Amino acid sequence: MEKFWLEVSLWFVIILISSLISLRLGLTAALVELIVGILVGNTISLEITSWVKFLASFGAVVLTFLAGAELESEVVRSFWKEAIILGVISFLAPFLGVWFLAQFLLGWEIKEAQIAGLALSTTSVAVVYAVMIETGLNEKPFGKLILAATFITDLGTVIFLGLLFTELGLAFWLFVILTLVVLFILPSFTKRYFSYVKNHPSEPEVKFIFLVLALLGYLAAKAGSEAVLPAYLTGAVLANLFIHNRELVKRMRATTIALLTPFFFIKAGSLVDLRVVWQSFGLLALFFLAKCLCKFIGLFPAGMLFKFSFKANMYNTLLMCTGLTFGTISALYGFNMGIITKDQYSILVVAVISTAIIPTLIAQKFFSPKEEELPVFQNPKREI
Amino acid sequence: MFKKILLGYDGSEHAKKALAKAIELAKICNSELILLSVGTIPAYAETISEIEEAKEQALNYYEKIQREILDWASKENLKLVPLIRFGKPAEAIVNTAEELKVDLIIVGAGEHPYLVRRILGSTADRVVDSASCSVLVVR
Repeated sequence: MEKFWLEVSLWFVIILISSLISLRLGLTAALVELIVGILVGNTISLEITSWVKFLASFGAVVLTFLAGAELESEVVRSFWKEAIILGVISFLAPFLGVWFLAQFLLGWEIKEAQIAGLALSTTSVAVVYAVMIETGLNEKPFGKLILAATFITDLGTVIFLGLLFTELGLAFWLFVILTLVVLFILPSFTKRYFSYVKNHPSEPEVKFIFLVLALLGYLAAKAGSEAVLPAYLTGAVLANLFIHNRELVKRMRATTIALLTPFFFIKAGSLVDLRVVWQSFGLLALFFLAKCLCKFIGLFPAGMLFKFSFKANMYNTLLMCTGLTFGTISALYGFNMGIITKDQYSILVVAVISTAIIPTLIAQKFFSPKEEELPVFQNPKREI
Repeated sequence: MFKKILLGYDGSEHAKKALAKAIELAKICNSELILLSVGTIPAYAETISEIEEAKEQALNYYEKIQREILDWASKENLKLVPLIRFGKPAEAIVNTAEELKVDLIIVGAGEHPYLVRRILGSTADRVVDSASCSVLVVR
């Protein structure tokens, strides 16, 4: 038993140090945990025990749920045409481009190349939002359009991650049908359930959501799919309920960020082999550039079609190049399922981290659009 | 001399020293004093709710400390404009100064350990480096 508590203490020392560094540097804990995880994993032998695996996996699922629950359906509805076009391009262009690069130019196996494509197809909604809030762009129609498009991009990643590596047998169809049924009845059932339990101090709302995520995760795993797919969709169908219940989101986030996600990000970082990253620096740069180039090839002409000014178009495209959580989740899924090797995983995760930082810095420094450079939307309903 | 003065204010001890100096100058020059507080948003966040929570906390804190100064300023007949922005403090101070065309920026100099200052720099250092108008660093 003492060995167990020693392990727990060691993990929480790392978690606390990460948290204090993030506080000092003004960075999110997730990014610091990933980087600290990389450093720790390459210096001391950090044991990934079964309880760490549980906390890390559940952390990824709950974090994905929370990301889905932030989907503002009204925003997506207001810009549905532009959001779908930009979002689909933003997902498909890097997914196909990086897949092609990995399979045909680098000689990776098809499934390995698909994981690379998925890990680098994402756009981080939260990273984009944090950048826009500094200029107040999140309140303007153009900012809301970018956010709506990022939701669509992530939806594409999650759907493909959930379905691409699954065999289409009986278990799969059972999973699809049951998930659809649950998603259909969940909003009204949850609303009634929440009004029945009425914020009881024993947190029955949070426990109910955890149960739904665990059950759908079980069905997904049974079908050979990935638990983040139903988690994101569950979040999306419950988004309207959660947007009006910020206290509940706060409580769920506190549980998740204090106990679950640190294990996910530190574990994800600790599996990165720095020696491989150093030796394959060219490959890492190639993946980073491939993601950004594919997003540019797809999104820049689409922006011109919507009459974005040069600066607004560059800003939108660069922000769409960012990625963090879903990129890490995709790469870790590939590694856990034995699809990609530790070397490939190491390169992909560091490429994902670099996409969170570099495009953001360039967008903020050189392409933050001024008021007069923002696109004008004719329909007054869009001024939401 | 200085028609518009912008003070970067976070409620800390060195910011309070800067506030005293800013009021003194504003009275002498009969200037408009802009009281800017910058809420820090965690960069590269995990979820939108993380950002919203940080924003809410910063708003509650800065609105409270700005209100205290505003109440006092109204009694003193001082023209004071409160402002809250979000982002990196130095960047927000410089950008707001350019946007509002201020003549002088006043910031307090915090006492950071030598190593921290060498590695990370301070807000005052960054403002001095990148501002296009005069900057007064109060110690």
